[in-house]
Amino acid sequence: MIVTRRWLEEFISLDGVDDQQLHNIFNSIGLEVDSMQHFEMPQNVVVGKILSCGKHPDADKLNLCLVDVGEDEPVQIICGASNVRDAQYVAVAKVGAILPGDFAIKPAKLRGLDSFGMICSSSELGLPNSGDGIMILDESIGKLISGKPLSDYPDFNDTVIELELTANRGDCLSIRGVARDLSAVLDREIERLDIGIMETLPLGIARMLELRTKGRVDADLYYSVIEKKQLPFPFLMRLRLAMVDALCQETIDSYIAYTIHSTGVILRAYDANRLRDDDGKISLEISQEFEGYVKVSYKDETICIVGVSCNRDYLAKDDSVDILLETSYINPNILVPAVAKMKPKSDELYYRTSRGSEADLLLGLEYLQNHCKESSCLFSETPLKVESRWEALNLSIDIPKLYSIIGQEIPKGTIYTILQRLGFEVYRTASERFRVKVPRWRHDISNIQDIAEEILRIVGINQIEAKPLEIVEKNQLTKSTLDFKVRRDLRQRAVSAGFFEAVTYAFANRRLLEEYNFPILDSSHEILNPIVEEFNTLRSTLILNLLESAKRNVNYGKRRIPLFEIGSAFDKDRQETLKVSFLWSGEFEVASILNQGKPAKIDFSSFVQKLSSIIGEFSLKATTQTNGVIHPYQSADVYKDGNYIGWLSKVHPKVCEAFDLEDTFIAEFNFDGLIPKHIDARAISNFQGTFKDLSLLVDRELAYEEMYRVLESLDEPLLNRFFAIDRYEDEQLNNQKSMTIRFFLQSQEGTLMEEEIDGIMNRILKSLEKECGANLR
Amino acid sequence: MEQLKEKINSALSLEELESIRIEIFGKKGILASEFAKLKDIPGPQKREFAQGLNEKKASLQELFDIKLEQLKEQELNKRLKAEALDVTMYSNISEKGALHPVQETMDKIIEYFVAMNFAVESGPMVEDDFHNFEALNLPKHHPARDMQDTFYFKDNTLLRTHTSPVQIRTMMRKKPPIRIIAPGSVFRRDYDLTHTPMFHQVEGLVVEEGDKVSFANLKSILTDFLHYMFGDVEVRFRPSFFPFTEPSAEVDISCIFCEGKGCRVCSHTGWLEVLGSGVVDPNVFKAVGYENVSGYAFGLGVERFAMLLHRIPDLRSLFEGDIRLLEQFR
Repeated sequence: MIVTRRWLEEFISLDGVDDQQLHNIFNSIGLEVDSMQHFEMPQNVVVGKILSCGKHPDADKLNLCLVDVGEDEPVQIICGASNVRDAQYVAVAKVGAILPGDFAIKPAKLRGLDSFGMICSSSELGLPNSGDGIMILDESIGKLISGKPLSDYPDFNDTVIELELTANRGDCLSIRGVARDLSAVLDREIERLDIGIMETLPLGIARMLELRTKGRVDADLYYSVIEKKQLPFPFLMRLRLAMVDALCQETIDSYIAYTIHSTGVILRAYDANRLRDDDGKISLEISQEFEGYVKVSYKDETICIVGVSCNRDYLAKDDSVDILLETSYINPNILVPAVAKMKPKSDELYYRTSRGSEADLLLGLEYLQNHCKESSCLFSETPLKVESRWEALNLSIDIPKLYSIIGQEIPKGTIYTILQRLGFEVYRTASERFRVKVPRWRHDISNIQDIAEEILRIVGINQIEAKPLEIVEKNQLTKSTLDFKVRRDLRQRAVSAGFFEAVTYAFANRRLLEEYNFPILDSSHEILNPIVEEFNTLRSTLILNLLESAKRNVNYGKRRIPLFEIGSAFDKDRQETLKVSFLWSGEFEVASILNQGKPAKIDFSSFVQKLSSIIGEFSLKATTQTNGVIHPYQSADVYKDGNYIGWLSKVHPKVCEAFDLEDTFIAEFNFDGLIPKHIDARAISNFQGTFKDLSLLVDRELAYEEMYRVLESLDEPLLNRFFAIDRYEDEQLNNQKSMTIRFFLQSQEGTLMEEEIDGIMNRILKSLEKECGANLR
Repeated sequence: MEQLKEKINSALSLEELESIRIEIFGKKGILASEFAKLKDIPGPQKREFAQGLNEKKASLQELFDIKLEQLKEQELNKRLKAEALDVTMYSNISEKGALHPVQETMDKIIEYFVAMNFAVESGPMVEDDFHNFEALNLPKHHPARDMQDTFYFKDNTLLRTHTSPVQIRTMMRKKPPIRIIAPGSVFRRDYDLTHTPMFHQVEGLVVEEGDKVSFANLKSILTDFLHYMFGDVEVRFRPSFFPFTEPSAEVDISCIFCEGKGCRVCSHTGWLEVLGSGVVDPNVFKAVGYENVSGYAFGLGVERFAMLLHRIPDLRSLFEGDIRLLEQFR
């Protein structure tokens, strides 16, 4: 919504309120200022009266003018504007004037003739474009006196303010509506238009127009007939419409736009002669197909859908002789759902009607009538009306409750004044209670909190003292609070291990997920309106996002790419799980003095080591993954405390090629699997333990996991722990390999004797011989 | 005697000193041969001679010990010097990674509210119309429900457009008092220089029985929170409109780039808009079946906070895993 200071002053006095104060007031009452521009007329620009105007003898497109600029002698000015001929009073930049853009006016010679000044267009003076050619002034801005500086006419020194309105404030989509809010803050009267006595059409409206309503109609419609003879376009109207960017091609349209912008009342002007029956009478039918969907038709043809659109074929033009003027109101609370249901095409006025236009239709009608005073238009004496049933909303307000919402007491007198200034009717019903009648244009007000908001914004939020809330202590450690802590610790450890945290979109490209054999959403669960193809589904893995990020980093020249992300992924039923995913590509170390600038590359063992420094101990089993990014011989399922928590793998060389990556390793875990377990401490033995190594020959294909399983199942309380330390193959071993396992034996009761140790080691060997076909090497 | 002293003093290394020790104090050394003379000296002088010899030995021994210490110290210094490194070459060789600025900002925000006795709550990203819109007093035909803004699924569910549905889910599960924040990803169908289809919000909700909670309480906590986040800034509340709060306010801080003088970042207004907030609308309480309660709610965009705090120029770079950006936060 664009307003100008001078236009506002038509409705309310702004004496003593400068532009900066106005700016602050708007912001503090919730009408956010988007931009503010003040216009200032340059010096030496004056009103000029064109005394004569003829063609330049040597140039077709130039005019030779003699202009009275209030000096002893008229000045000669060469002017190129095509509309100079029609002009009487114009704006003249005299020699010495400096126009915007540092354009200095000097005496000049144009095709051999002297020119002492310039006749200006609006944009040459830094004003918004108010039409083609030069500005043609009239007395709508005040009495015109040749030679009077333009800066002495206040309408040229106006300030244009663009307000960003929230969706609930349709009542401020007019100059008068904004003035009404100001009247509450400034506690000043808002001027009611005085129309005075005007000559009207001799024929009664009912003799000219017939309205037939079918059934219930939930809209207000007033119709007037105007006999239009001449309709001049006042300069002030042109200038202001240009300032608020609402100038129209047709003069009649500009009048309508001016009235709508000024009052907020919705008007439409039709060509009356196109709607007349043979007997000269206009006959319209008004019907409602659906609540809030009101149609006005003429002989089965729709003229207008109230608040939505109209039939442009019937709109009045500047050459129309008689005009049928329609003013209308429809409650947005029924209009908007009706439009959503019927889906008609709506025009530019729908922005206003859907947010709530002004319901006082006479206000708009009288405003227009008043502005036509100077023209020779005759209005019908009264409009013909169709009115909907409307009952004002009354709210009973408990004052202590009002205070408790705001958190501070406000003097009752202030409350009443604010509400009255905003158009509410206030009735005091008890000492701590009053009743308000909500004005029709405030369809957004429905309860005490809405009233609290009105008081709060007009008093000013910054006038309210901040008060901390007194609370009752409560244990707030919810599962999500604890998860936040776990997640944070995990992220910190990942960072210490060298990983960079990535945040990527929860979307994926369905084709890519399919190509790499990751789960995809059941098609009945898919996104209906994706924004781009790469994000046309929800991701089932974070790995593809990390591979994309790694690829980008390669393009940025990075050779060491450690990334991790904690984020949601979705299975085929769109169930959400939190995943923790890692990627390490290229160099393992930072190139530095430590490695003479030749950093090692990432490999399986260093990747696994990095991961265990983040998530703790885990065991690896042969992979069961079926996705297409894993390396078939360097991938594993990851188990923690006996539970499956995810997988890790080298990236398949083909995938590396597709993403332009060097050797890359990836892992994806379920967040829930990484939540630390409760630990009970074991007693620490004070007796010395013994390490024993066994080197065994086993089948070359036998996985260590098999031996691990056998050893785990042994009932040997003194076998504290064991781990593989070497694997050796050569040709002489044929189909066998040598595995060396280290055992740690320790007792809580005493130092182990040789016989005890030998006994345990023998039993271990026997089991491995039996279960795994192992032989001592 | 003086000759011997000079000899000890002249030793240049531990090896040299050792050979001098053998020469003087050894079994076949000078002193030994002097003591051997003792048996040939007659009784009366024997005592005197022995005493003199012992004194001589003691003073030589003392001199020797001092010299030994000196040379040991000297040797150690030599060894240490040989181990000298140019320590300055080992600067800036960290292999540490870094937290993402958005996540790190989110941590900072959560920590404040946890310290203020808020609980963290979460909810699903795939939501239904009721939790995301209807219960939040977003009427059926509100502009925010346009296909333009919301990602819908074929089965009439949607990707949450804000973290506010967590408010609804929490209130439907628990009785007041409620004191929660809900951090998380949200989705809007918008993708250009200043919009990404996914971003992060933190939502806050406080509900108490009766009329306890007022707008003044909201003002108090948000002012304190913004001082914690941005330091010594001015905080300004502007009335605004959100369907789920009434009265509603947008909260601005004085521009941290120009200190309120006006610059490009604050569009020359001197103020930066950072929060939306308000007193919970009674229609929201009605939707979750609460009666006779009062509360406030607020919400903020984490990316905006992170970009302001760390002066990150490009929103989209936050979602690219760009190590050139991330490594600055080590």
